[in-house]
Amino acid sequence: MSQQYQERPRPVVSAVILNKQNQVLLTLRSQKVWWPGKWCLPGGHLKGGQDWLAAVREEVIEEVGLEFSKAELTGIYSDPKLNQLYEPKLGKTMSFVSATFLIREFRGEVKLNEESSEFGWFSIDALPETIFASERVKISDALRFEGQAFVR
Amino acid sequence: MPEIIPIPAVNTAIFNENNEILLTRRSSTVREPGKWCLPGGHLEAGEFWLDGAVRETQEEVGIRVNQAVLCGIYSDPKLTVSQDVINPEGFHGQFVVALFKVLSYEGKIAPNDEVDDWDWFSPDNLPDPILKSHPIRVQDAFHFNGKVFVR
Repeated sequence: MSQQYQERPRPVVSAVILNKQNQVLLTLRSQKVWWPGKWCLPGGHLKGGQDWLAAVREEVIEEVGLEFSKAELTGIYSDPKLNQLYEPKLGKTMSFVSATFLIREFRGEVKLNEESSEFGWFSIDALPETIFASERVKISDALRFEGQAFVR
Repeated sequence: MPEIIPIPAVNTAIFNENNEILLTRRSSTVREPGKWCLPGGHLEAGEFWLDGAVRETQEEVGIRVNQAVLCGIYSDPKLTVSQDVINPEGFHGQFVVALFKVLSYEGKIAPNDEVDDWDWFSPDNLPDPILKSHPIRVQDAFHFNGKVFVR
């Protein structure tokens, strides 16, 4: 792949899944994935040939085993301070652009795959310390969302 | 089937005072020449979505966007995967697009060499041929009422 496309920003999706107490579902990244030990929202890469909603549906079922019928776009993100991350295993900086979706109703029990080693429901004022800074913004936006998606 | 690589990109919807939308015709220097389309292009690594939309609009049609609002995001593979492979390594690009509706701008339309014609069109009378992914974006921008389209 040419340099130009190697360095292209990679589209990812994130899901802000809220329970009835307005707590958000976070997962702890396992040793099998990039940035182990960080807490994050369920989500992942949009794969070639997928659309945004198919990507979020697939990532949520794979990573946390939940199904949903409605997901609302709450923001798109590409702020380099939050969305460019150095990956030590690869030895390079990756650029991401994200679309974040709010899910308030879901079915199933949380069931993790090998990408996560733990999960928890967190209230906005008690997020875990090792959460990605980008996730704090996405969560805060999703909780304040009133119909117009944020662009950051 | 060659690999499909998603590539973030931006479009802008610019209306004149008659509610007509600005479209450009793609020159022979770019892929799919001769087709009409909205201004836009690739988002660069580390670039804010909105900055990308402002930059591409300035480069392609010469106007300075002062204010714009997100009105849709697009990734439907049936519409967004490039017809041809887009580089010598041989993969298809899937253009994953944020569409911004421009609320105010300054300057005169002055296209660059990626454009060989431009005009204002009523959304119910679009030119042919047009990039197949763009008519829905034109409609969405025209009908946008605050809720961002996800397609």
